[in-house]
Amino acid sequence: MHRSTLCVIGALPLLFGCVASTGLYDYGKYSQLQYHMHKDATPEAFAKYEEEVLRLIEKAQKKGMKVPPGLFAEYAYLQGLKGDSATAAIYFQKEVELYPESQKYVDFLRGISSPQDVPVPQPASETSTQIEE
Amino acid sequence: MKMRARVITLSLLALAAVFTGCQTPVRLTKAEAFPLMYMESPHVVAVLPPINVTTSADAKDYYGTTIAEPLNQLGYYTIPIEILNDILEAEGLTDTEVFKDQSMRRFGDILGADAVLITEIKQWDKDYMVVSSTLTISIDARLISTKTDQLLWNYNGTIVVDLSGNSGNAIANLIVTAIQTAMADYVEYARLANANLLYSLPAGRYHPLTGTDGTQLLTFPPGVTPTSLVTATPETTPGE
Repeated sequence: MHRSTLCVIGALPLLFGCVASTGLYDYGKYSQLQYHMHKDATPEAFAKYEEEVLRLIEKAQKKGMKVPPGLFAEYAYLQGLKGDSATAAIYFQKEVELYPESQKYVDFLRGISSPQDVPVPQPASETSTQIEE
Repeated sequence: MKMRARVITLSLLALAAVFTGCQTPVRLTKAEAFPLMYMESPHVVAVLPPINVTTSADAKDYYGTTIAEPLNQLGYYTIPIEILNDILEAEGLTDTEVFKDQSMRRFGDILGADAVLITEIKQWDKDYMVVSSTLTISIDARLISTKTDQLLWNYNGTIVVDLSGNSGNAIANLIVTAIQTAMADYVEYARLANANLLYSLPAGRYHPLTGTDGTQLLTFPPGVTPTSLVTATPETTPGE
């Protein structure tokens, strides 16, 4: 067992280089603050995490970079948790526009979080028929 | 910084072990090891809550915060962890063990995931010894298709960190060891274990290397079998 773990570690120096250079997005302190939100479980840790999500969105937008996958949706979700369903709807829509592959789970979330006060902006014509199948 | 240097030293030692003593590891290219990854090209990934087989109760919650970012950096689209966790919790599905023998199709049907990532924390602990202590994190991971329920990719990422101070003075060493062990941040090292794990994963759709990294050579440590060999063995067909 010890041997085998050591063997795995042998490959480590090879990895340091490539992992650092393949980053596609700026995730800032996203993961660290998410960890602290779980570890500390305080309102302050939650607020810091939420701030970082918004900061990263705005930073990417300012620089003309692609907003990392999931950040719009996550910010939307956090706003929804706080009861701000109007902002939630706007940011969910941004996620779907930037990453159409998010459509299904975003629709699922829209479905479970009080659909009457989350107006879902839909391109008028074909979509209604699609939904009804 | 000092710790990083130690990690590297340990790694070099380990590399020497590879050349001298280990069992012959399996060597395959990414395409040979994980042909279905190149056929299906999964893109949207649902990362399920980790399975924790260690005695460290926090490991599950903490490790879960480390894996989505590197997957996205590799070109995948992961459903945000906090969102997926809440959905699963609302459905009473926080224990990933439950899914082990079940079809993953619903993650595709309901959430639009192409694949489900299941991680298992095998080790998450410190070994305290008199003059040295080590921290070991070991993660098994597998990607399962939501279209076919087939295993697309699996690998292990392990890291062993030497936390001991070496002043040549036994008493001082004890103190240094205690301090460094207390400070050691599991999660920081879990990220390194993830790097070790994910280098074997073919690049995802948004990555410049997507579809072209099939010739990269991988080494399979003893105990990890590439999916191409796993799927070659006859299995009981999942009843449906």
